[in-house]
Amino acid sequence: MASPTYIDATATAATAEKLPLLGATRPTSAHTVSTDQLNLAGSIVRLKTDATDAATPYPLASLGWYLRACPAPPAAGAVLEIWLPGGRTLLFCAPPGASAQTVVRRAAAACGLAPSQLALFCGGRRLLGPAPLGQAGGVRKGGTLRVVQRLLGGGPELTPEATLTAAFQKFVGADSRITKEGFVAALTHQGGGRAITREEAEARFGRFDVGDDGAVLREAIVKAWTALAPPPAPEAEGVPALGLTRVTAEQAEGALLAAEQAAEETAAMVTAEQAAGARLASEQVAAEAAAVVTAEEAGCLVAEQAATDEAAAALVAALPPHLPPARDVAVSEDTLTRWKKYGGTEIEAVLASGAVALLDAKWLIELSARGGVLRPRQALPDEAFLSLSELHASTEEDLPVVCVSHCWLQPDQPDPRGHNLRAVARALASLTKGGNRIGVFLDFCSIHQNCRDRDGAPQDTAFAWLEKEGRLADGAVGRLPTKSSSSRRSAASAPSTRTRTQRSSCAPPSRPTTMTPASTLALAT
Amino acid sequence: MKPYFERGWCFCESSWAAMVKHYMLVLDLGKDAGEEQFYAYYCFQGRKAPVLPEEFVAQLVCKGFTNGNTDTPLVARLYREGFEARFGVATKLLYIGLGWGDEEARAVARVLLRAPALEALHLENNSIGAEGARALAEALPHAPALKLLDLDNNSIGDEGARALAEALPHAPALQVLSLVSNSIGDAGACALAEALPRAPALEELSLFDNSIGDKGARALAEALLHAPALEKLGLRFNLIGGEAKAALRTAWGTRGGVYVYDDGRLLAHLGPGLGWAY
Repeated sequence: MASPTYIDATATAATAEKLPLLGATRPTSAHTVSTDQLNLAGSIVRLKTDATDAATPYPLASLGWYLRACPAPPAAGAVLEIWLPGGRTLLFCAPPGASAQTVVRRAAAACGLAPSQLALFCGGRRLLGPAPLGQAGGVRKGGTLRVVQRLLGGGPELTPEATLTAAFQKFVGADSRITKEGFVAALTHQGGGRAITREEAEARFGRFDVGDDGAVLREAIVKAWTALAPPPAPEAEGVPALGLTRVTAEQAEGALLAAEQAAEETAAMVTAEQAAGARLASEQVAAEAAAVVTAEEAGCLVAEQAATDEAAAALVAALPPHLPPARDVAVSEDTLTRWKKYGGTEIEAVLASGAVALLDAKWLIELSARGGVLRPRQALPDEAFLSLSELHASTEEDLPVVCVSHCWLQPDQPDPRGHNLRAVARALASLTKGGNRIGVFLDFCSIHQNCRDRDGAPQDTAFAWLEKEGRLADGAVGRLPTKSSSSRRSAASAPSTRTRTQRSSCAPPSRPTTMTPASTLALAT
Repeated sequence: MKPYFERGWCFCESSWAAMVKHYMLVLDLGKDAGEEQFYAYYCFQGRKAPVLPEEFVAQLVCKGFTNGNTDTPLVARLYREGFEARFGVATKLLYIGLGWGDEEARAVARVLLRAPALEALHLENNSIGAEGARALAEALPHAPALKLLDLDNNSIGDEGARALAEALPHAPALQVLSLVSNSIGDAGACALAEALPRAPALEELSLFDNSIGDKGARALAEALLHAPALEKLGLRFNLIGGEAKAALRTAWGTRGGVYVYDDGRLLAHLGPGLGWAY
């Protein structure tokens, strides 16, 4: 079976210029993306390619042909490779306008968890909400989407509503009379076209002098929204153009409603028109895909893929480092027995699923010694972590696990100057004096982090200070995997027997992870 | 900036860690003196006493959470589940040398009522006084499996010893009571002596290094004759005169078994009628 060719739909500005069919705007930089318009949600984008174009690095002709066959948004346009908790992969043919929500729902169904228990990450950044994935900045060339297990605590799930509520509180204050629902609805309204990002909303709201009067505020919000609404889409002809300055709140709301209805109708229309094309396209994609892909309903394909698959091996080679490493070491029966005796089984599931990764104490000590500071889990290299099997092997007289409890000094970085890191490293150095290895749980480094700014407001972009330093996990924005990529890690990262037999590795931990077994050490700083 | 214990999650984490962990497995790095060498011992000090889920919820109210509405009920539930899971099966609690006083002893006493499987409670090398001992004594009848209570190196005094003595007849499984170095005088010893014959399971009573004089020793000698379950009685390093020692030897002789202690260590179990032990 022929492997699909990977197409770079988003390569350069020059490429974008050659895409007039798509109505693509010129990308702002070479590597951010025209995916807004293409709706090529996600990382490993597999499209049908035309064999005659194989010689060209970016077979635009076939791309164009493909999109002509399925006018935008392309139904079944993007096949996503999604890594699930527990190391399985999901081949997902994204329906039109697939959003983070869609992907998470699909992944949840595949691994038997509630969607609220999963979070979708691309690179260091969490993808959220109903906006098409292509619109999310940072879904980059060669990136890989990860679905990870959310753990308990840390506030409500970071939904768009929660994000906007935070924005609301930030800009309006708690005593305002405007209802939260109104605010959230106004900002998240999708009928006119694109979702409004928090930054845009912030910029817009910054211009309004918002008083305590809820009515005034409401008007301001509607104005803000209407000002942000993109020009009406050609399909939505029934929508009256909105004058930005003259419209009243009522008018604006009426227009919003109309736009909503129109958009719904449009969507229905498009679906009907495209059904055949979509099915055709999905069949083609399915035929081309290396894995066995079963076609379900129009445009939606889901298949579990064997880890031995060549394409998967290539993916594995490009594995971003924010899952726990899969290094396997020999573990004796005695050691395993001790691991069980000290309560290791209680934390095994949550470690095996990758929801929690334990740091290698040695790495922390070295980090402290060279004057480093902590980074969020997504930004840490493989060698920062202990694999589950290494942890097993380190079990001697106690469970080799230390949990660190510490004050976060800033919402975006718990320990900006490394003060607590030094204190912890000092203690760890004493505890590992005998050369024993210890896995360290430190929330910021062990659990996938939502991005927040210094004031604690959820961020759409990745940790700004990390991006600035270019330190966000290189693999997350790494190269497009090629077929010639070495599959050196395929064996290592194929789930070990233990993990594979444990379907329960996807199950939520029976006990909160902060609840450490009695023989675990807790450090407080 | 909110200090550690005022923060919701920090408070929860420290409470979780404070439940049943071995005393050497909870380190407070704020206690690290920063000397050239890291002394873990300093960091054991000042560990929180375990709290009941109800108390936990009550204390939670004044802690700061970024997401209080969702996190408060969550951690309350997690704590309750964790508490039941941990104390429900805990057989041995080692709260040794943690600098605890009466208040912590009271907290432990409250927890005792919820630890049905607990067999050994180690509280040695703390600063528990009479009040703490009384609280523990009141909990003893409700600890059905408790076999060992170790209060060495505290300062429960006569008052504390009396409170424990009153509880002895109602402690169904208590086999070992260790009260070494607790400033117990004659009054405490007499109270214990009086309770000994009625203690259903007590096999060993250690009273080394207290201030027991002749009066207390004689009372204990008398009690020996009526406490068939008692196998070991440690009385070295007290203020017992020769006559009282003789009375003790006689009592042991009458019982037919002799246990020889030196510095708190059992040296030998001599055959019947051979002599003395104190």
